[in-house]
Order: sequence, then structure tokens, then C-alpha cells
Amino acid sequence: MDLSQFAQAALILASPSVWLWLIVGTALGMVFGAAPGLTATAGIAIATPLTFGFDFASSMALLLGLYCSGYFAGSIPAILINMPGAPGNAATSLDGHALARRGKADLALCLAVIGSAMGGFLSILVLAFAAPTLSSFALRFTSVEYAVFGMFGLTCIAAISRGSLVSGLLGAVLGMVLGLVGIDPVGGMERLTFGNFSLLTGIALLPALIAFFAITEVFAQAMAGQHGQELPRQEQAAPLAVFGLVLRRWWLVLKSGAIGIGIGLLPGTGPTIASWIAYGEAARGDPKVGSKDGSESGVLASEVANNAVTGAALVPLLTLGIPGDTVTAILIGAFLIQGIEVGPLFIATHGQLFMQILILLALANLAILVVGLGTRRWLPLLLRIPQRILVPLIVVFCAAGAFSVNNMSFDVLMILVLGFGGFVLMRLGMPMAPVVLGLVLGPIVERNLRDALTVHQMDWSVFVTRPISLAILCITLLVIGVTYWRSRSRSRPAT
Amino acid sequence: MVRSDTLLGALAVIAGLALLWASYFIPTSGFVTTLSAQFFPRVLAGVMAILGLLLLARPRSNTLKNSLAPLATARFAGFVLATALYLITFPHTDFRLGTALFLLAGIMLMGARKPLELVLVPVLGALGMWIVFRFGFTILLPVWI
Repeated sequence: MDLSQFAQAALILASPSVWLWLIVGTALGMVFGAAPGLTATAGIAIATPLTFGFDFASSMALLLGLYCSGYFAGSIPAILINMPGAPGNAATSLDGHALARRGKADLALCLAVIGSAMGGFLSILVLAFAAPTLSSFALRFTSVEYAVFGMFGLTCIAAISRGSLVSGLLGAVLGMVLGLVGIDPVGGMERLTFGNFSLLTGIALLPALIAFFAITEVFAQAMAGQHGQELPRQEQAAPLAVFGLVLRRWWLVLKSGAIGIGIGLLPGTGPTIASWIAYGEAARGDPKVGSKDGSESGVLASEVANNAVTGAALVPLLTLGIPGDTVTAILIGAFLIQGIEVGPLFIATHGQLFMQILILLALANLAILVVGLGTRRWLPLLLRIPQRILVPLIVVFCAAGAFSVNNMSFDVLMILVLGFGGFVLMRLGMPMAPVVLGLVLGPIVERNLRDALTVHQMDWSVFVTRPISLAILCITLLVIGVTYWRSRSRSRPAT
Repeated sequence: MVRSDTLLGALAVIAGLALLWASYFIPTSGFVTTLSAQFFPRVLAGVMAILGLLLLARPRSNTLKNSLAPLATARFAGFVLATALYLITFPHTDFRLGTALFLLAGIMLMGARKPLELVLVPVLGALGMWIVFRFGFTILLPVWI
């Protein structure tokens, strides 16, 4: 790192407009991330054309503030009303909402804020010190590695099955079947659409998330009615004590951060897979994760990994010109507006701008801490609304949110069908989280498996002859073995 | 005594067989050097049926009556019906009107009885939500005027 360039880049800290746009971006990210149906991607897409009149630092302050806080803010509705604002926060809702049910929503929100900021800071370190090396490593990943990586993601099912593993596996298979609907990604053939034109694009992930998490919860509350579980009075958490709690789980933070960074580096993956894998890892170490009472570790792991993706996804963009996810793809437009082309020569020729990005990313994560911890006290007030009013209001929010995703009335119908179907299956003992995991990972595994076999003329041995693929397969088998061994030793009666 | 797992298992077996049947109608492309579009549906159909059989063979969960009986109450059925009507008519109804009517029905079914609550929640809820989405997020929700 060139310190003179860093010192020059740090001069942006003296610019009031940079601070102003950073705060505006953070606030907008909170709104877009928290609102169902809207995501950080949508926020950045809307904000990018507004940066035509901005200088580089102000433009990046607005967009990176929006990016980082947008990824975090989906955890707010996930914790408070069990409705993840974005797919990357779905794992957070499992333990976050369970904690809210025990009157610990403030603690869960503090953990999400601090975890997200820590994940963000960890990814900045990687971006600063290891970007070129890591991006060239990530480029070695082909469809073979992506396919086995997707299979590794499926090992989380055991952790999120809550009770019966068979029911959890069945849920994951159901999710994968739902992921089959639409145009076949390899051959372009129509699959399981039953002649319905609206199903050609497949089942959209956000309406499915709304259905499987929020609508099922709404029906559960409606079933309980006035005798249902009113949430207890929420306890206040002291941020310093939560910091201590997070620091005591330093290994979990580092592990989840590494998972988020590793997955963020791979183009086309994103925070959803990262947060599920980190959550699965946390569950392997802490039996309370995924339980009815919820665990701090589950929230922390999911949120650290979710935001660790932010800086890591910028690595392939800034070093190779390849966007790591949809947000970074839009950011290419923001760079072009400034007349800057990102690619292998960006750091060498625009070292000062690279330093500015690092500084702004750090400030954006600091802003999450300040704004998130500052506003969190008012957020649980939402839970004081009586259930008889809150439950119908959530239905309206779900409907408007699902409609906003693609402006399609079909998505509103989907939340009804999937939500009611999911609720009945839930009553029969099927957990909903594996269904969502299957819906996310199924298409990734299928597309890459078929791509890999196409490229290698149907040679299945390619999965064990390529070193990275073999290593991931070995880790997958190891994780399955350890999980099985642990579950056997737990179920064995003590002598 | 029928258990929930028994019904879940039976549903899984039926769904697996249905998926297998449906997979035969999936057209295949000209590609011969890759797996066909039918491959994954068939694998999943097989796994689904096997898992269903496992549940049928070793049912462990609650009795079916305990799991599904609460769904048969008039109040819950009313709430589901109101939700279904609201979501089905969503694209064809003015958001403000449809939402106000749904909120009125919804809070009544959830046990609200105070007259002030029955007036204020539907009106303020519908208008507030419309203002937030229309002017806050600039998202066009279906309206007549």
C-alpha cells in the first residue's frame, strides 16, 4: 500500500459533500434494504444516474453507503417481523426473530449492526492487501467448482432442519423443484410451467421469501388469534456489552467473515449463499443455533458473512473488471459516468481513487454502526403494535412488497399459493428454511453441473481430477461425516 | 392414530410420482453432450419419493389431528379467505380501497372490537401504506383514480 497515495486520498475526509452523500446513501440503503420487495440493488440502480453531476468521491460515497447499509438493513424486518428484507438476510430471521420473541429484539439488532460492520471491515482488509492475488485465484473457478460449491452449500440443511432431518431434506428438495420452474438454463426449454406464461421466468426469489417466511408467520399468528403469543416487552441491550459478546465469539466472526469474503470473490454467487453457509457453520459449533429460543451466534454469523461480501465482491471488479454480483455490475456504470474504466490496470493507474474507495467503504461501515446503533432503539417499537393490528398490516406490506419486485400481479398470487402451501406443510412438520435454501442453491447446482459436463464431454471424473473441486468435495464429505458423527453422539444416551 | 409425517410422506410420494410423470413432457434440446432438461426433475422426483417412503415407514411427529385441527376454526378460515380475496383482487382493485376493506376485515377477525380502532386502522393504514410506496419508493400500486 502506497502511504503517500493513501494520505492524498484521505483528503476527501475534509470534504463536507462526501460526508453528506455518505449519510444520504446510508439512510437510503437502510430504507431500500428494510423494505420488502426493494433491495440495495434497486436503490443503487436508481441512485447511479443521479451521480452525473458528482465528483468521484461524492459519487462513491453515495453508492457505497447505499451498498453497505442496504445489505445490512434487510436484517431489520427479518428480526422484527420474520420477513427478510433481502435474500441475504433470510438466515438472520431464523434466530433473530426467535430472539425477538423472547424480548431480545434489541440485542439481535445490535448483533446485526455490529456483525455487519465487522464483516464489512474484514472484507476491506482483503480488498486493501490481497485483491490481485485473490482475484486471480477466484478466476480458476469454473462451472465444475461452482457445482461442487453449490453441493457444499446444501450441507447446511442439517443445521437448519429444526428437528427431523428427513423433513428438512424433503423441504430442500421441494425448494429445488420450485427452482426448476421456468426456462431450462442450459437448453432453453420450457419446464414445469404447465402452459402458464407468467411462470416462464421462474419463481422469483423475493416473493418466495415473503411467502415462506412472512405469510406462513402471519397465518400462524392468525391461527393463534387473540390467544396467540403477544411478544413480550423488549429488553434494551447495551451496545458495549454486545461488543464484548461479539469479541468473545471472535473465531465465529473470523470464520463467517472468511466465508463471506471467499464467496464474495466468486462472480455470480452473492450474500445469500454466504450467509447460509456461515449460519450452517455456526450451527455446527453451537447447538442453540436454529433452536426455538434462537442464538446470538446464528444472527452474528449470518450478518458478518452477508456484509463481508460487499468488499470482496469489489475485488474482481477493481482488479479484473468483472462484477462479482448485480450491485457491482451496476457500479461499473457509476465508474463510466466518472470516465473511469475498471480492469487490471485500475489500481496501477488510479491508485489514489482505489484508496478513496477503501476509505469510503470503511466510512460506510462506520456509518452503519452509528446510524444502526443510533436508530435501533425505536425499531422494536413496531413490536408494541398489538398483534390484531400488526398481522393484517404485514399482509398488506407483503402484497405491496411482492408487487414492487417486478410490478407483476402474478407475484402477489404466488405469495398466496406458496404462503398457504408452506403454512400447511409447516403444520405437518416441514421447516421452511431448507425450502428457501433449495430454491437458492438448486438452480446453481443444476446449471453448473450441466455446464461442466457439456464442456468436458460428459466426463464425470472432472469433479475429482480438478484440485479445487476435489478439495471442496473432500470438505463437503468431511462436514457431512462430522455432522453425522455429532448427531449420533448427541442422540446416544449418557451412561 | 394417523401422524403428520404419514400425510407428509404420502404427499411426498405422490408429488414425486407426479414430477416424474411431468418430466416426460419436458422437451429436450438438440444437445447430446450434456444432461437433458429432464435429468434433474427425475433425480429430484426419485429423492422426493424415497424421503416420502422414509417418513411413511417411520412416522415420528404429532398426530394429524393436533396439527391440522386448529386450521378448521371459522375465524382462521375467515382470515385465510379474506387474505386470499385481497391478494387475488389486488391488481384489479384500487389499493387504498382494497387495503382499507382488508384491514377492516383482518383486524375484526383478529379480535379488534373498539369502534375507533375499526375506523382509524383501515383508513390510516391504507393511506399511509399508499403514500409510503407511491411517494417514498415511487412505486406505482394499482389505483383507479
